[in-house]
Formats: sequence, C-alpha cells, structure tokens
Amino acid sequence: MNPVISTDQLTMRFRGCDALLGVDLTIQPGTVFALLGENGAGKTTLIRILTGFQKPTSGSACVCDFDPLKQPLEVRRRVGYVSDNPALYDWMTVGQIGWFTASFYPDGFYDAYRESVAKYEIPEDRKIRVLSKGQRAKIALSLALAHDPELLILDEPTSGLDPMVRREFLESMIGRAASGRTVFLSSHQINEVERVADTIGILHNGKLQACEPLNDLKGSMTELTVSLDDPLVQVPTLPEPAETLLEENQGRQRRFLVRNFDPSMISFIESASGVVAVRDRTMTLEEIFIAHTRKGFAGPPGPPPEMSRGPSESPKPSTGDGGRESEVVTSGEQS
Amino acid sequence: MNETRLWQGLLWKEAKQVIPLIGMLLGVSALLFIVWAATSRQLNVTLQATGDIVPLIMPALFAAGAGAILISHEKETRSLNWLASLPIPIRPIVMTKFVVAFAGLMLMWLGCWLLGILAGLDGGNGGPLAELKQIHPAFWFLHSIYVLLCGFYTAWRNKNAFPALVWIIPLALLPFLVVEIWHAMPFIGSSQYADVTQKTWVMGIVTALAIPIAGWFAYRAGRRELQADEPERLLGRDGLHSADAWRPPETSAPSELPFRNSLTSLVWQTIHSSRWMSIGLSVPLLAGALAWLVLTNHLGQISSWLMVAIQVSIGLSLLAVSWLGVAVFTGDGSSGRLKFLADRGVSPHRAWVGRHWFGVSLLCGISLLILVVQAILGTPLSPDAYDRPAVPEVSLLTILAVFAVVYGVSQWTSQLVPMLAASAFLAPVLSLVALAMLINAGVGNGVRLGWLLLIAVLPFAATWWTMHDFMDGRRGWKYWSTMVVAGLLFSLLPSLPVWIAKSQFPRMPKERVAELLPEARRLSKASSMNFASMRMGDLDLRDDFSNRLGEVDGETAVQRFHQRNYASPDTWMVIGNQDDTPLRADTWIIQNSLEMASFTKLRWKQNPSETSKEELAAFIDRLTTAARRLRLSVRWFDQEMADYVEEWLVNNLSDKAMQPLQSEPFFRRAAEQVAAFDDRQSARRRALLVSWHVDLELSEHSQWYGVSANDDWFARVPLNWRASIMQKGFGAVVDRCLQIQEKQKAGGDLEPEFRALHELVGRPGGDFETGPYSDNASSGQNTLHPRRFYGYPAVSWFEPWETEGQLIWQRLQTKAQTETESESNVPTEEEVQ
Repeated sequence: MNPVISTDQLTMRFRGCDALLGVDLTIQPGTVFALLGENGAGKTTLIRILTGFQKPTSGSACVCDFDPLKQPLEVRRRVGYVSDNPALYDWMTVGQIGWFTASFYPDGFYDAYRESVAKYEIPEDRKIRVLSKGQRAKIALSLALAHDPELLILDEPTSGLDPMVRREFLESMIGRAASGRTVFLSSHQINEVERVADTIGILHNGKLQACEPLNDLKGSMTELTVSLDDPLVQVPTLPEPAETLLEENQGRQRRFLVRNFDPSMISFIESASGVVAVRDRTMTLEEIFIAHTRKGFAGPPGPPPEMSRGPSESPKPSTGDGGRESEVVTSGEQS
Repeated sequence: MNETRLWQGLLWKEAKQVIPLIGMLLGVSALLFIVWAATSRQLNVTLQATGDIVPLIMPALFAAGAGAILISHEKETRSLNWLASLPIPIRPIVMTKFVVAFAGLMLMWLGCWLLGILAGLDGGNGGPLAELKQIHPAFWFLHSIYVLLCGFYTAWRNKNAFPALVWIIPLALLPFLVVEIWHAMPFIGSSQYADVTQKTWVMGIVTALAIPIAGWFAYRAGRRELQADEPERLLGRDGLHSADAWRPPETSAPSELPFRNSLTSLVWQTIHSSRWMSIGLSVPLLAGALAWLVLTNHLGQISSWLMVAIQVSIGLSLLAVSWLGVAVFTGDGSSGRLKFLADRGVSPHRAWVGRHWFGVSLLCGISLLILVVQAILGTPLSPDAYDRPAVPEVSLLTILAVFAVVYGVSQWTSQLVPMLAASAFLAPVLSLVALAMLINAGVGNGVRLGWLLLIAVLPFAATWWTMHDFMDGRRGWKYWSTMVVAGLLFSLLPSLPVWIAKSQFPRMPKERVAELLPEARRLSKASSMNFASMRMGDLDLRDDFSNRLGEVDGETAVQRFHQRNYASPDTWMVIGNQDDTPLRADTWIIQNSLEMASFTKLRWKQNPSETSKEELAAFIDRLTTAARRLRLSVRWFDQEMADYVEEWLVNNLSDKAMQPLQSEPFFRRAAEQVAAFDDRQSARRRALLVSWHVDLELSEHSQWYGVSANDDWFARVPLNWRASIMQKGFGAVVDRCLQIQEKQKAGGDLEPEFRALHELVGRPGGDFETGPYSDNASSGQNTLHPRRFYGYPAVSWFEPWETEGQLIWQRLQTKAQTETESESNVPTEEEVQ
C-alpha cells in the first residue's frame, strides 16, 4: 500500500533560519501520526508544504499519491485541514458556512456537517463572530471532517476544546485510523498524543530527530542512573547497538539517556571498578521529547577515548524495530 | 464537484461582503445630495459644485475600495487562507471577486445616476471644478473600471490594505499623466489650445488600452497570491551585487537599548508598521505644499498642464492628510492590534498621543515649510499692479486649521469605522464635508474663528475620551453614546451662534404688533396693490434684438438718433396718464430724469427763451406727477423715491433764479405737491404698515414685498442667514420709523431715534456722521449734497427740505395775496392759478 504522506529530503530555508533540513518522512494509511516539536521547530512549515501552500527550497512531497505543489486541488479534496487558529468568515452563520463550504465538495457534505454541528449543540443560526473559541474549533473540525477525508491534518486540534469534547474527539481519531483513514496531528499536548497516536515524529531545529511507532520509541529510550564511589570514576562506554544520547554529572551519580539499551548491559556496567549501583528506567514520551529537544542533545559532552565506543566483544542486543509503520531514513544529528 | 454550485457559492460570499460598502457609499451619496439640495438655492458655489460631481466621486470611491474589501480585508482576517485550503481552483476565486466588484460598480453608477435625477442636478458647467465636469461621463465610467482593476492589483500585491490604497493613486493618475505628456510633445502642439473633447478622447483611448493590461496584472497577482508561496531566494556569495554594499545592515532593533520614553517607541511603531505607507503619504503632502507655494507665488498666466498638476497635487495632499488621520487607528491594518498595547497596560492617552505624533508632526512640518519658504520668497510683486498670483497667501493658522479639520474628522471616522477599507473612503468625503460646513459657518454665517477652532478640536476630544474603551475593544453603549453626543455637537455647534444671534435680533415688540396689526390689516384691505411701472422712452437704435450687440442699420440708426428729443421728459420717464394708479419707482429712471431736468433748468437759465421754459415746465410737471403717484404706492421704497423727487423739486423751486416763474402753473402745482406735509406723513405710515403686513402674510420667504427692494439692509448680518431675519428685522425697522414719526409729531428730538435706526439697519456708511441719517439729525447742516444712499427707510425724513417745501407754498400764497390786495380787485380763481 502506498504511503499517505511521503517526503524526500524536504528542505525549507528562510532568510535567517532553516525551517526544515532534509526531512524524509513516510506515513502509512490507517495511522494516527503525531508530529511533536518546539515552537519554531518547522511543524507548520511542513504542514504548509504538505497542503500545497508553500514550495520547498528543495526536496519533494507526496500526499495521497499527489504532488501537493502540482496538484494542490486533488490533495485538498482528499484532505481535511484544521489550523491552530482557523480563520472562518465571521459574518456568516454556522449554517451558512456549512452551506457555503458544501459548494466545493461532493453531495453529502452539508448533511454530515449539520449532523456534526448538531452533535456539538451549536445553533445553526448563530453568527461565527459570536461563537467562543472552542465553538469555533468545533465548527472548523466539523467542516474538515464532513467530507470524510482520507487524510486529516490537524494543527493543535484540541486547543480551546473542553475536556469532554477533547476526549470524544481524540477517541474519534482512533476510530478514523481503525477505518483506514489517516490522521496527521501536530500538537504540544503530549499526554493526549500519547493516548491516541501510534506513530510519533519529533522535529527539532528543522530535522526529524525521531520517527517511530510510539511503543518502539518509548522502548528504545532508557534513563540510566549509575552511582559511583568517586566522582572521578570513568563509566565504561556502552556496547553497540546502545547509543548514549546525553550524559549528566550529578556528583557521585551519572545520568545517561541511552537509545537501544538492553538490560543485559547492566551487569557489564556494574562490573566496572568504582560503580556502586546501576538503575534503569523506561522514559515517558514527554521525557523522550524533552531529551530530543533539549540543548546539548546532539551528543555526549567531551567524549574521552574510552567513552566513544564499547569494546567489540560487548553483547549486541537486537534492534527490535521490525514492524514499524513509519521509519526515519535520515535521522539528522542522531549520535 | 459541481461547477455551478462552486460559482454560486463564491458569488454569494463576495456579494455579501461588498453590499455593505455599496450601501454605505449610496448612503453617503444620498446625504451629500440632500446637503446639496438644501444649499444649492443659496449662493454657495463650492457645495453646489460638490453636489454636481458626487455622481462621479462615489463610483470612483467604490472602484478604489472594492479591492480593499474583497481582498485586503480577507487577507487581514486570514479568511482567504481558509478559503484557499478548500479544493477550489484559483480562477473562480479571483474571477468571482472581480465579477461581483464590477456588478457593484454598475450598481453604484446606476444608484448615483438615479439620485442625481431625484436631486435635480443641472449638470451646470460653472464652479471651480468646471473642467472636470466638462469631461464626458463615459470617460469616468471607463476610468472607474480601470481604478477597480488597479485596486485589485494593489490589494493582491500588498499584505496591508493601507499601502494598497495609497498605491492606487499614482496608478489612477496614469491616464491623465500620459495625456498631459502627450500634449506637451512638440509635434502635438500646445496643450493650451487642446479642447476638453480632444483630451477626453485621448484619455479614453489610453484608459481603454490600460484596462486589459491592469486586468491581466490583477489576475496574475491574484493567481500568485493563491498559489503556493515561492521559497525565498537566498543569495550566496556569487549572488551578491556591488550595490549591496550600500544597503544598510539589517538590525533587529533600532537601538541597543529600548527607548527610554515609551512615546518614542509608539512613534517608531507607527512609522515602521508600514514604511511604504509613511513614505506614500509624506510624498503627496510635500508635493501639495510645493504646488501651493507655486500657486500663491506665480505671477502671470499659469500654463494648463501646470494648473492641472497643481490641482492634482493639492487634491492628493488633502487626501494624504485625511489618510494620515485614518492611519491613526487603522494604519496597522487592524484596530485589534491596539489591544496589544492595552494588554501591556499602556495608558490609553499615551497610546493616543503616540498614534497621533507622526501625523501631527508631519502636518506641522509641512505647514512650517510653507511658512518658511513664503517668508524667504516674500509677497510676490509685479510691475503690473493687476498681475497677481491666482491665490493669495494665507496665514499659518489657516493652513493648520484646514489640516486640523480634515485630519481630525478622518481620525474620528477611523475610530468609528475600524474597517480600513470603509474608513479610508468615508473619511475623505466626511472630512471635506465637515471642512465645507465649517468654512460655510465662518464665511457665510460669520461664526467666530475661535468658536470654529473649538469645534475642530471636538473630534480629537472624542477619540481621546473614548480611547480606553476603543483599545480594550469594549465599544458598548457608553462609547456609542459619547460618539453620538460628540457627533451632534460637531454638527450643531457651528450653527449655535447663529441661532443665538437670530433669537436676539431686534423685532417689533409684541404689544406694538398687537397695536399696529389691525391698522396695517385695515390699510392693506383698503389699498390697491395694482401699480404702474415707469419706463424710459425708446432710445434704442437697433432693429434686431436677437443678440446682445444687435444688428444696427446705419441709416436708420442715424435717423433715429436725430429724432431723439433729450429735452423732453417723454424720453426719460414715461408713466402713462392713469393719474389714480400708484406708480412703482425705478431708481435708474428717476436719477436720469432728475439729471436731465437739472440740465434743462441750466439751459433755461442760460437762455431764458419761451421754448426752454416750456421744456423745463414739462420736466417739472412730469416730476410733480411722478411724486404724487409714487405717494399713492403702498410700498415703502416708493415713498423714499417720492422723497427723492420732492427734495429735488424743493431745492429747485427755492432757487432764486426760478422765482420769476412763481406765477407759472407748473410752479404752483409743484409747490403744492411739496407743501403737502401731512399727506406725506400719512403716505409714509401707510406704506410702511402695508409693506410690513404683506410680508407677514407671505408664506414664501424668498418673495419679500417690503424689504426686497434693497439687499444692503442689515449689512453686518452674514449673508447666509440675512434672509431669515429680514422679516423680523423689517418689523423692528417699521416700528422705529413710526416712532420717529410719532416723536416728530410730539415735537421731540429725533437724533437719538435716527441713531438707533442707523444701528438697526447695520450702520450703513460706517459711523452715524457718514451714514444716510446724519442729515436727519438736528445737527445736520448740508441739505444740497448729492444723494448717496438709496433703499434705506426714512433717509430723507424731516430734513430741512420738508419745511422749505411748506415755506415755498406759503411764500406763493403770500405773494398771491399781496398781488390781490395791490390790485384791489377780487381775483378770479383762474388768475390765481
């Protein structure tokens, strides 16, 4: 099955900053994909390219088997898009905007829209300008979903929604994915994302730092706390395929963020001289996100020669990434 | 997707968006037409001219504003982004906007044409905008389509609506510029002699050619806007040009540290919100100042193209002043952006000052520039005393006052109508109407400058007062009630001094009205309103009167010339022979007749022949009859002219040279006429009361019976409201004149009464001593001076000639008695005569 979204070396440079740097992304149908990133990480730029609003500096993209730059209308017919602050015609009534938008979609749009609006209990004769922020978000969602799009692109979809509606909406996203539709959402609400997304992409400084199924991502990252009898004791470099992403000195304790850590490596560390105890902990998505986006993530600081790579005889745990529905082909500055 | 439904949906949306602009402009047009209709009857050329060109202005304003409403506003609210996210091809989006705007333009033309017909525009060619009105409306129609397309182009190209509007101006002027350049070409001939029709044709052709070009540019700009954004071109080392060395480095902030004074930051923000807007408004202001300096300093004939350039520059500078005002509250595209300052606790009044700083500084700077240049150039002098600049210099205060009114009303409009696309077009119209209203109040109604300046401050005070609510986006009942009160004050205050002055203007007291009205009514009923007019004899040498000069047949003319008898009163005053019919005076005929009578008397004195005596007798007889019949008239002015004639008779009958003629019948008849003192007083009283009563009864104020004879009454009352107090003032005058009569009868001193009358009619001639009533006073000495004042009541009353007239008659009677006694015969009646 063709991926719903695929990008190839997507690069977008602006004067003074690089929004995207060689992003390769593949999203399969039936996925709820969550794109995480700080403000200014390049999320909105990526969405603008995918919806045909922005030409990239280089690279290409394909959405629903169409090039969004050459065939933007075909893409928009198959996509439902809700921006973080949807600008609707505020002089129209709730009913009028549905009637107006239905002009551009096949039959059935207006009925589906009215049904959705009725579900949200918003009167059709009310002007958009008098609606609350949350009600506007519901109208925007109703408009984006009324034609049952193959791909739903949501930029901060739940901001402004009350908790009850938010929960219902997120559950409906899972339902959409189950029916073969794809959802691409960009959000800061990591807890919510964790609840619904099955694939996570983390964008930082224009680069896709991670793009893996949620479980793989969570399973691949381990926080390792090593207690030492002397702060000057050297901790041995972990054997492959483990990668140390970050190392922090906290007195007689060292804290490591390690990718592809295998519990069998604990005994290897404990065997080193001066190591008192080793504790490992699986990280939450939020911790993983912070780990990927915090300053200094690019690599462990000041690697001594013996810290760069473990001995060749170290055990090699399995990568465990088979069955991924999305993958990072180019992972930027991964250490 | 259904293609028809797509177009229907888009057309519906665009139409709904543009209808408010059409309604608003038609509403303003209707208001202007009403103002025009109300003022055109008065002699106010400026407003009349404005009324005539309203049908042209309103579609032009719509043409320029449609792009701002349909495109810039959508960009500003980002609804265009949402629309673009729907699966709609670009062409229908761009085309429906144009189709709806074009239909709206047609509707505007139709509406303004209908309003023009309803308001009865005469399409006259007078007034200061005569040249513009000569251009055929078909050109303006074409030009409005061109402006519409230019507006679309600039709206698509600019992110902010304001620069888009500013850039329409040079594009709209292009056809005019091309035509002026075309006519300035040496092989075309002097533009001075190019007639308007020829120019209109050239402008029409240029505009017609420019329309598809502008349309193509607008369409292309629309397509580009709705297509995917192009990536920025990042120049590498090889891409840099040597010219880049001159480019100032881009800085993130204007200074190392934030400005110490927050006002400075606000000014910085105003200027830099759109640098192009600041430049775009400063340039026409400067050009207008230069044009004004040329206009006030250029001696001699100004060439046609220069005059057009001056008019256009001054017009654009006024538009720039108005838009500077509009920029105060909507300059950064959305009034909502002021909330940024409100959220940060910036004092509303500080924000108000900060927003005004740039505009006010610019206007003050321009005014000072005009003053300084004018001071350096001095007053233009020419060896030829009649060679003067087309427009005289004006004071700095006048320039500032004009700027203050236009700018003040515009900033007020922009706060009231925060949608830029609407306020940008409403503000210039409303500010010019306000300016015309205040000028009319000052010049036409005589309202003091200080009061008008106070009113000019009102729009500033209104926005200052409501700034807090406006910044917070809290425009509730308090805001709107403040605005309504301020609006009412601004509209009504210019008229307040007029109302007060009108209410305090002298009138006949009520008790006096009650006393005199029955008598006036009785006299009116008893008097005949029929009258005979006096005319001159046939002095014309022409046969054909079809044109002003007339065709003169030489022989006939010479023959007629020789047949004229200048020594006959029939040549100068023809009054018919209906002796009982009142005569209506004609000042010109009476003056000429009196002069010719004086000339005849001189001829008789030089050559006392029988013929010359008969000629003199005929003149005096005719004047005596005229005076008698004028006394029958119930129009007070005829009584004044009868006084004029009788005064001449008295002066001449009392002439020593005339005494040998005392026994002549004409002398006796004339003496009898001038001696009838009591009859004269009765005629005066009757005429005053009847004239007053007739005016009271007349419903149509424009048809005065009593006071229409002269417009110089109440000369100190400003012209625009003089007519409305005429009737009231006439009552006061009648009362005063009757009091003079009554006091004379009682034997009192009349000087205070005449002084009061002098004040009442507006001090004609200045001081009392130099005015028409100085001779009526007991201190008046000269009785034989030439008459200088006509049309004022009682100017000849109780002067020495009246007594002299009685004395002449008494002398005549005494002489006749003496002659009778000396002859010791009882004379027959025929002999006495």
